[in-house]
Amino acid sequence: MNIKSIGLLGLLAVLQLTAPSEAHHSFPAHYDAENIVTIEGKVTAFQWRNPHSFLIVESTGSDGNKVVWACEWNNTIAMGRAGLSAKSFSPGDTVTVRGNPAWDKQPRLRLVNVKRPADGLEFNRAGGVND
Amino acid sequence: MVFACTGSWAAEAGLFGFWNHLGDFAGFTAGGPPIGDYSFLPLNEQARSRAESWDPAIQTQVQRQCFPHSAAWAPFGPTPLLIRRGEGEEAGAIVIRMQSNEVYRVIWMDGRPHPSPYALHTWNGFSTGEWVGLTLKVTTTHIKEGFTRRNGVPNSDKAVVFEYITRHDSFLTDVVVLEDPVYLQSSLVREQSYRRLPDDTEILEYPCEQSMEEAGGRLHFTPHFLPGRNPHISGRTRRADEFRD
Repeated sequence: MNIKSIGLLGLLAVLQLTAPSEAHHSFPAHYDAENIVTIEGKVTAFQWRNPHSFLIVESTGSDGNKVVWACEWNNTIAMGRAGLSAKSFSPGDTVTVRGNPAWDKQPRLRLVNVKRPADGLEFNRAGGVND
Repeated sequence: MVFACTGSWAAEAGLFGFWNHLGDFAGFTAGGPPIGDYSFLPLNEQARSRAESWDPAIQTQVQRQCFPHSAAWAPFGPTPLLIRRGEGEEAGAIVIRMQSNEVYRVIWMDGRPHPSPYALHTWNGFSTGEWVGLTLKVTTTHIKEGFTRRNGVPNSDKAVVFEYITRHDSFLTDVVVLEDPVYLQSSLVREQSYRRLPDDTEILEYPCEQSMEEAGGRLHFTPHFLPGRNPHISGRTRRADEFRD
């Protein structure tokens, strides 16, 4: 057998108690991690699901047109561990979302942070507050 | 040297239990590899062509959202797992259950042959195991086409995965050798380590639910890039990913 590649970085990895984001896809392949987009709008749906949950937010663009954004979050296990549930957001909630934009320019973000001014609720990407 | 019995049960008992994925070698960093990074992969031109035409948006299609990882990549999935004895019809086998995507692998230890090449191919494939000293060697065939790296690098349905699973105290090492005559020029050797978890660990359910992920929708369209049109592939990435001996 002609072995040309050996990966040993896993041996040096940082110990962890719980699984991180269990991506069914590569986030950097979908989203531009170097840039952040901020949107404000109203929640139209909170899709509590695997492999990843989505917060669907309708905002108004600078041209006055409505834009529906799909804000990709995490799997339900990681989010539930952080205290979120399927009832954490409801249609009509006003939110501010910061996220990495999609490479394909579709109205889609990888959620970095979400704030709900009405009650001060704030969550970050991994599910926890300020993590 | 292969030991049919000597030491096997002691080793098997050492593997049983809950284990948690350590690190993120296959994904490079939390979240996964960027498009165009094929470093350390002995790709042939067919694989490169497939990878460079891959558009990540294809994974948002409703019919693809719940595809689990194929056996060519599943060992690297960042997820806790349980290794236990098979029960019922799987008695004598070793079962690996992973939380993410609810992967359920059966490793047959009774020396049965692998089925015909034309037999059913699945995400987990068909696995047989044998003891090589205190290492469990697993051979997996009949794997559905999936990916070797999560940025569009494919594995073919002719791929064969050899794993060498060894316990080192409270750690587990899985050396994964992928041989793919369709897409690789040579064997690809990777490693994944796990750390022991308490016996009362729970492997939680992970049901996948399809939904319309693409806000605004691009229905009736199969995301792809035509040859030479992938905006994520630059001269820099092409040079960086060239595989060297």
